[in-house]
Amino acid sequence: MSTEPVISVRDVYKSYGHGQVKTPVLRGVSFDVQKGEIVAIVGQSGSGKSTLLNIIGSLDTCDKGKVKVLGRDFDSAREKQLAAMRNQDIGFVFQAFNLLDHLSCIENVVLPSVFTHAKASEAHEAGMAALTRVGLKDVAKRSPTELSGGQKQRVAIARALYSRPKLLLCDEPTGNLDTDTGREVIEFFAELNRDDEVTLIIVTHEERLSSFAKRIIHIQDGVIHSDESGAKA
Amino acid sequence: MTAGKLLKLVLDNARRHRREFVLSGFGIVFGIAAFVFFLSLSMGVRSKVLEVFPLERVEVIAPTAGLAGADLTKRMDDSTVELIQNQELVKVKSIVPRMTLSFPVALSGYFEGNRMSLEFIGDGVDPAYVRDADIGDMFKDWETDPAPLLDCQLPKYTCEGLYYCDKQDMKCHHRVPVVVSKNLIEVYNKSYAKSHGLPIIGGMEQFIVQRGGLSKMRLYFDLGMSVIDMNQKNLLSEPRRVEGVLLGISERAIPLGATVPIGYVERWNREYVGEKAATAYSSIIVELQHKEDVAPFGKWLMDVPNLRLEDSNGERFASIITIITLIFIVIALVIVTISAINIGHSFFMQVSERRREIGLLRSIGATQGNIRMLFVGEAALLGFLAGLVGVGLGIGVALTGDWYFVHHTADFAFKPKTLFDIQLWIPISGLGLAVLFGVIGGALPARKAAKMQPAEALTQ
Ligand SMILES: Nc1ncnc2c1ncn2[C@@H]1O[C@H](COP(=O)(O)OP(=O)(O)OP(=O)(O)O)[C@@H](O)[C@H]1O
Ligand SMILES: [Mg+2]
Repeated sequence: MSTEPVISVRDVYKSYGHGQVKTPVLRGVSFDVQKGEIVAIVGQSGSGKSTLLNIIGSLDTCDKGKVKVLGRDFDSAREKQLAAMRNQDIGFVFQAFNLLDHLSCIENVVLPSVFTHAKASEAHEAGMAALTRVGLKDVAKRSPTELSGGQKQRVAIARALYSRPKLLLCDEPTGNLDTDTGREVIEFFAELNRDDEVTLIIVTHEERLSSFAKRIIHIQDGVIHSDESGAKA
Repeated sequence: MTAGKLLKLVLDNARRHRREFVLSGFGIVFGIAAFVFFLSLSMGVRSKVLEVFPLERVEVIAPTAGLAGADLTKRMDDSTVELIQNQELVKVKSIVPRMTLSFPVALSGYFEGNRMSLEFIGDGVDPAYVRDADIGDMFKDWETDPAPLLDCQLPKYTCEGLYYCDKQDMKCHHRVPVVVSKNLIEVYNKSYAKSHGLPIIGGMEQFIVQRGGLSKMRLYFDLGMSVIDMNQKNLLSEPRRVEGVLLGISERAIPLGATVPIGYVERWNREYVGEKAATAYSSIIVELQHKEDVAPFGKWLMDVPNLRLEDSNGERFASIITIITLIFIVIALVIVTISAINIGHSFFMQVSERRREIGLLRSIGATQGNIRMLFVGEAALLGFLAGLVGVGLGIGVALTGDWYFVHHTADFAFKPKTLFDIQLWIPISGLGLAVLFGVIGGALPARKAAKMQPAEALTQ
């Protein structure tokens, strides 16, 4: 492939703690992700999946190694540029949804607009479009506390989609959902990938999710144990 | 992030955390209320004091000194006035020498049908100094009037209008014009009238009109007589009577006595004591251009003509008030400081409780600066709201106190109509202080929130 990868991770190291109690989590991880890929990151609990995802999303920093996302080199990027990238180009979906309960659903969805110069009316329009996309136009004015888990996750996804990101980083997005609602979310991701060419990185435990991915990166003992592309049909 | 969006976020959070807001804002409320209350009080009292004792008006006196019974007190006369006039150290607005009577004079008169007799405490000043729109040009030395004196009319030795028949020469002399200070009226109203069951003197005009005009208020000076000590010795002349007329109230009259044109005092002193007494001034009232000049002027007086300034009551009171004010401001600042610490404490807890929210905001594009501004903004809003309540409380208590003071405390001399002077800068700086201390309290927690690693904030 001639085009630049969306994500380029080179020899990344990360450990937590200091001195004696320093525990290495990532010990030299390298891989590239191309535009439009769906990548599942799997591995045992505590193997460093979330840590890796957070580093890719610039929510955490690595101790050593090079990370480049959407053409931006994290070493030289300034804090403001990374924040702008998270605001414009990257969407996050968390296992715990992370909706703010004191805001309505639509206010949650348009929250990223707080850090832009978008007008309130424009933001509302884009937010409603995102909510419509996840099929929750009708709950816009309601509080997230009144929603089911699946609905909450869809509102959170609508928030992640608000800025029409190029890259979606999901950390166990179906972890708190039952099988059926989990499947709906997965199908929605597939549709998103197909229609908008959104690159998807999904950290997961679940067999179903990893089987829908075209590529599976298996992390073990802080290194990539296997990286299988298109092996499965 | 635009200011409007920040404000909306801050307001949302404030509404969400009303309880914490109210609890941690209490200190600011009371601190600022105390600040506004005490500053307004001291401004009010200060301006009342300086109204009675203006700072830039000082009184030059000769230091009293004696050696083996001899009076070595330095004399002040026209050369002293000239010296002050010609000095170039400070700008002088006016110089008015005063001369007190060097011998006893008894003053008597009829007031509300009562004959009153008392020791005359008074002095003489340049008539031009006292003359104003209210007093008119009747306040002058009539004895130097070139118009020839008329003979008293027989058979009862009477004279027209404001003239009286002087038994010395049987000619009609103009009554000696007299002004009194409003302090005297105050003291009369608040103490004397009350204890003697006499009517209160309101405005002077009203007083004059009620009693049928100026000429009705006649006074009698018995020169060389005393109501205290009946045997006057060593006087150059025999006692005699001259008549006076009360013209009105002047703030330039001697504070607790009466003032006449200086010419009369000079002549009477010469007649009863001698030439020396007729040329020595008791004090010189100097009005300076700037009140800041009082100190250098005082020093110059000491160094050059070896005179000094009478302790200025205004200055003495003003500095006492300043010290008391400072003490109260320090107390208010201590309260506000403690509440800033309290706010800091509360905000640190907020930051821990809202880790997830902070992490989320970072993940959707908030910079460290945005997060810091969010918490600083909340602290500033807290300070502002608490400041508003505090200013309101301070003003409310001041007005209530004022109302109580005016309506429910005993009347006394110089009792002001209001105790407080709530100048605009007081509530404004109170609000400013409240916001400032809110921000100071929120600064460290805001920093902690901003420095939080977003990935870490999002875990748990
Ligand atoms: N902020 C932190 N401070 C200290 N240790 C941490 C921190 N974050 C993660 N760790 C440790 O790093 C290791 C990897 O954590 P990580 O969350 O990346 O694992 P994971 O693969 O996502 O696990 P799970 O499947 O349970 O989510 C764990 O042992 C965890 O205890
Ligand atoms: Mg994890």
